[in-house]
Amino acid sequence: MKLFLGFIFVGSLIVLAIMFGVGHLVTRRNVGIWQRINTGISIPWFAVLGVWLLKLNANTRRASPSGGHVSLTSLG
Amino acid sequence: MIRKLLLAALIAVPICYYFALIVGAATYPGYSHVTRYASELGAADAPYPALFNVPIVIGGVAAVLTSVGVVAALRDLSGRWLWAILAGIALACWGASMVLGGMFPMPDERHVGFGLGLAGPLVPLFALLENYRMRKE
Repeated sequence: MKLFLGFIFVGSLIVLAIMFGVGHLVTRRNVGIWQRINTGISIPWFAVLGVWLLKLNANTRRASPSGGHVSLTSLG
Repeated sequence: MIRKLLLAALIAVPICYYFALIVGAATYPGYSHVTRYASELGAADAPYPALFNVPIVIGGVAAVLTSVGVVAALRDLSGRWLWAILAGIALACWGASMVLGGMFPMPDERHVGFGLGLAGPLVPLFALLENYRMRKE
């Protein structure tokens, strides 16, 4: 996950820089492609983060005998 | 349960965006993904601007809401708040820019969301920094 997050961060920065004119790669004839590349890097990964955090959340709660919550009955 | 819902909203963000992009383009005769901005699908001269703008606003609201769940979940990884809160703030800013982008279609100057969308790339950075301090279970 660390590698993935690093890739997304660096990739987003590079494509954002290109979108802002670095390298003069973006023209009116290909702006759509570059925008799709930009959003392709910076948006779908949210779903991966969501699934990962949901799994971690579930594992944490399973690991706790009380399901992650301390209740009066579990103390007794 | 609430946290689960908030984190599930994070999964909904790309779904909303790509729904807007695909359905908006499919209903826009002559639209080119190569030469045109995605936002043009929500502009006034688009055949069905609401098909693009409404899902974008929903995705933005989902991003703002899920930022709370992301802060809580990332905080649980490391036991520390700093990077988790910063990741949540960056995500909420990005979500707010999506909401503004959908509410104020091109060429309205508010469409760019006052640059708040530039906070987006900071979310993986802050999540990564939080991840580095993950608790050893």
